[in-house]
Amino acid sequence: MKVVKLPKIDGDPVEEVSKFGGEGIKKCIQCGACMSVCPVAMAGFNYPNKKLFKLIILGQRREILYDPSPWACVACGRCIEVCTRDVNPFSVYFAFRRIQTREFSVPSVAEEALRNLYETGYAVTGNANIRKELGLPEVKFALNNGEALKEIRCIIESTEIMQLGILPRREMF
Amino acid sequence: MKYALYLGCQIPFLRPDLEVAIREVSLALGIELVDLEGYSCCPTWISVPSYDIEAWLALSARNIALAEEKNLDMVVGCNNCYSVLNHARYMLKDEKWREKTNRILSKVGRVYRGSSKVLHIIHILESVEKKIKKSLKYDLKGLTVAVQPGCHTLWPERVMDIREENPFYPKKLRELVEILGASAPHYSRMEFCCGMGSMKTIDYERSLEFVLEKLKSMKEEIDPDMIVTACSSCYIQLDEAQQKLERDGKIDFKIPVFYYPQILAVCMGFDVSKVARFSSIPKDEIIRRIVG
Ligand code: SF4
Ligand code: SF4
Repeated sequence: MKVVKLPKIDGDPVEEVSKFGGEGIKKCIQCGACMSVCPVAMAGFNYPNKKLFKLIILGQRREILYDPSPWACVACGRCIEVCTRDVNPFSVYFAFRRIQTREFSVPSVAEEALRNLYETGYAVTGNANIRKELGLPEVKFALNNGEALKEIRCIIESTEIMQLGILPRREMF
Repeated sequence: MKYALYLGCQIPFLRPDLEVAIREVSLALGIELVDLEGYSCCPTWISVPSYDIEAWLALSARNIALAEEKNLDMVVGCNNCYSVLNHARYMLKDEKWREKTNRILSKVGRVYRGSSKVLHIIHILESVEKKIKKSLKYDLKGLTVAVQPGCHTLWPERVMDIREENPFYPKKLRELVEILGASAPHYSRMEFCCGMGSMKTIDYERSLEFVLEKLKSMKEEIDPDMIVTACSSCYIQLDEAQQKLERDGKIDFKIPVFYYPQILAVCMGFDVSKVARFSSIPKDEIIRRIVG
């Protein structure tokens, strides 16, 4: 019989995931209901929800730290609906994303979205001329409103995000 | 009927014709929309929520607070906003998160109370069915529509104020389409994901597979004249991906795609050059069939 030897456990990933919003993982019994409906699994990524949870439970944090699977989650919420143990698999999956951001395992699109949001208040922006052409009112975005943008930056600056080294600390206005 | 209009980024920046449709049909149906001032991104899942819960909840709560300050429920047109804001509302029912969030919001002179609901434009239109019937200038009689409800108004039910009887067999959008005179039969991949969202940005090829699967199911099972979706992301994905799939020789047909308020606007007789301006798959022919 072949025995799989697992490498040494990295700290306590279950506690770590719990801290980032995935405390439900402690209830997971690996039934697989979440994976049976998950688009990430259907697309053939290596670690859809249940599989990722198993490695977290086994303490194999390093194995999955640089895996892109959690970033393919479309936030569809199917797994929350079908989970037999009310784990909220989606929240566990996202908690792991947050851990990955602390370890610089972030896809560039996610970095870009965060930077755009901090700079402009929006993840995507576009050109305003076409709006005029369509007869649409000027949008009262934060983008055109210094006070609002100041609020948005102040909110982000009050949180741990500023310690991740992705956003520059900047003087405000 | 009065709601705070929260547009998000995708519709006003990338598909402003959908915004025209939302505004025109609302106005004509007696739904008053009040623009929110100084709102930010919801913030979309791949941005702040992927990094930090506190920052996410505070930004979402600030957006919702803008509607609360006007004593109005909020209406959104984008399913991603709908999902992010409603998940935030659900989490903010927890005292712990609400307190943390309000501590951050106090720095910018705001407070989150949880008094405004976050609804989708589809829900509002559903509540004025009778008025819709009376306001139609054209209808979709004789046409078959493949509906695409989109994941984010279906699951998870617990975060939403308006629900399907069975989210795995959604009926609401079908009914709304039937009001316009079309038939909207069930097809087996109706509630399948379209592969948009971060799936598309992380792995485009895999994301296309979802569209292909869905298109094949529609085509083989109901052979639709058009696709109608309630989700602005599905709208972009199904419209753009078809072009790519055709170029790659994976499909040999094209099905025009409409956003529900958009096809409604067409049936109500609004200027199609404004309400249906941008698409990859041409809509001219099907629109000609409708408006004659
Ligand atoms: S929310 Fe994410 S993890 Fe859950 S089923 Fe959808 S894609 Fe999969
Ligand atoms: S459905 Fe729930 S209990 Fe079952 S494997 Fe998924 S998270 Fe674990």
